[in-house]
Amino acid sequence: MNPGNLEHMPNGKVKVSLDVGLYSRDAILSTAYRFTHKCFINLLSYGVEIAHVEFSNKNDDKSDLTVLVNEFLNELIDQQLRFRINSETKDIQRAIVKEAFAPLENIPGSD
Amino acid sequence: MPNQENYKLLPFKFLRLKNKTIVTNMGGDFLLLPDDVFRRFVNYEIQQSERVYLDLKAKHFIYDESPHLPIQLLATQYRTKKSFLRNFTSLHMIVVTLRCNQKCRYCQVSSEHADAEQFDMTSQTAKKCVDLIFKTPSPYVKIEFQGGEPLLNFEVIKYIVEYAESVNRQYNKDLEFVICTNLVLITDDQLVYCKDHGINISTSIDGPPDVHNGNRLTEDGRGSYDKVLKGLEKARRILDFNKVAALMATTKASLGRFPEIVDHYILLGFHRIFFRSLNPYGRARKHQKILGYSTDDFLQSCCEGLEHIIKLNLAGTHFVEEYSCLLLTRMLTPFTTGYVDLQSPTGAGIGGVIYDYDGRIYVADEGRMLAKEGDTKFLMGHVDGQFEAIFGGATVRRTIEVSCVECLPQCIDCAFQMWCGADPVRNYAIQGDLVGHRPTNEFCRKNMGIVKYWLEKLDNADDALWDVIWSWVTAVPISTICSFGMKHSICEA
Repeated sequence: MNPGNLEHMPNGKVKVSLDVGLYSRDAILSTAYRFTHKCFINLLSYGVEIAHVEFSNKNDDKSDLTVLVNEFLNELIDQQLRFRINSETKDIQRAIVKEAFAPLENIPGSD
Repeated sequence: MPNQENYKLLPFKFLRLKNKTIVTNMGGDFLLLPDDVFRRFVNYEIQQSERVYLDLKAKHFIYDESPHLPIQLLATQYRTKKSFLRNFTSLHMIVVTLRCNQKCRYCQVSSEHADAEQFDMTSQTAKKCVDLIFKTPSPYVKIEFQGGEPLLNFEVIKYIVEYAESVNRQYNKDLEFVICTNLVLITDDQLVYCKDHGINISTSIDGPPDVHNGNRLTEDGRGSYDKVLKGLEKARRILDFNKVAALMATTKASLGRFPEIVDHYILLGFHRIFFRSLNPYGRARKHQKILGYSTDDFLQSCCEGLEHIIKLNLAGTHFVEEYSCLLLTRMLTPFTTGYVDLQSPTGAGIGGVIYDYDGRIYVADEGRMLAKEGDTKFLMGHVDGQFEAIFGGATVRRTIEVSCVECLPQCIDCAFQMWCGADPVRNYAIQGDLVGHRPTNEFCRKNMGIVKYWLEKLDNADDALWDVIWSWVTAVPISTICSFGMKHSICEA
């Protein structure tokens, strides 16, 4: 299966393959968390090149998962961007927090 | 990797809205960017000749030389936003009795019959409460008397007020008292005492008589509206008019009637209202089918009410919705606000704390309710204990550790992070664990909905609406406000 493809399984589940060169494990997990109220999500594997994620309906819901999975893929793009921004700015973020609370450093018991 | 030669990014969060993308930073500043501008921004394609370049730089989303100065400035903003931590712990709620003269349908506390005096706080316990309260490092102390109906144990209220005033001669803290009362039983003598000691009154009025009486009943099952109004008139006559505030709680009967409820508050002479959703505890949970509603229903009513309030203000009536005012203050000024539910870390235990009639101390009233049902997870200790052991103990530490939105699932990436907070007690009570599950969290849904409402308003606001908003945030009459130019500071065309 090629990356990005949706594979409709006979049991109603939908399997998606993702290029791990584009999406980090954390971005996929973070996106999955945001959809846990809408469907069941199973991160099947995170390999050298491809990650496989499986979606299934909750309870007796028979609705088509295609729209939901496409929403997932859109959100994944934003999550990956968030991880890129965090990665580029995390040192400055730490410096800001350290500087903000620097006045506390000399208070006994503040470590 | 995008070309970073033009500029470098400073830490920020983003969220896609209807037509724009909001970017927010650690100082609480924000910009509403058209989607294409956002795309070019994160791909380092904004040119120095563009106006938005200067806006992004001025608001500390990018830097093009050394990061030293923006780090210093953002650190100062961040420290200011977290300055509520200095008031550790300022709000001290004391349940002087569990007895109550009313049987409100949504009561979240477990009240007792009006003659069950064994549920009154004793003066010995009250003294220990005050001794503990004054050990707080906070320079500001607010003692709020709650119940039951606190007026049923007025002698202990008097004891606490006078003992606290006496102790405060040594500590010299900024000391404030509030009695939360349904006003039904209040007497002239009690009000004169309140006036002499500068005590404020907070009462409950849910709206017009039929709405109020459907929720708030006296022990004989009749609506309390007429009695409350008599108490209100008496209180205003003896105290200063503005010493009496009112709160409303939303039930199913209030939905679709927020404009009417606002008009009723104005009719009663109030200048403020707080659109409060029902807390799902105690009797409110028991009567969920009769009183309850969805968060979306609440948001719809809330927006209808806000639209009405905005129209009133534009027509010259100064009237404020307090929750919106709290959010707008956080969004549009460098300052923080003292609302416990919107703090990170949570205000439970370190912003506010509640002393039960028997001397047990809880991080929040909801924690006290859980204890009544046998779960003492939020019990901090007893007034017989030492301040350090109670306020620095395991319960407070455990509650605080899981209440920083900066590291909670989903909140960690949320663009509204600097304007929001965590409520581990509510998470635990409703969702079964202190962290909670954000995709199904109704507090999150409500807050996101109201913030999005205001962002859309700000994006489309004309100067007249900006004047209204600025008059709320600064508590200055609209006639003296001129906020021309505010729009251009946050919205890119």
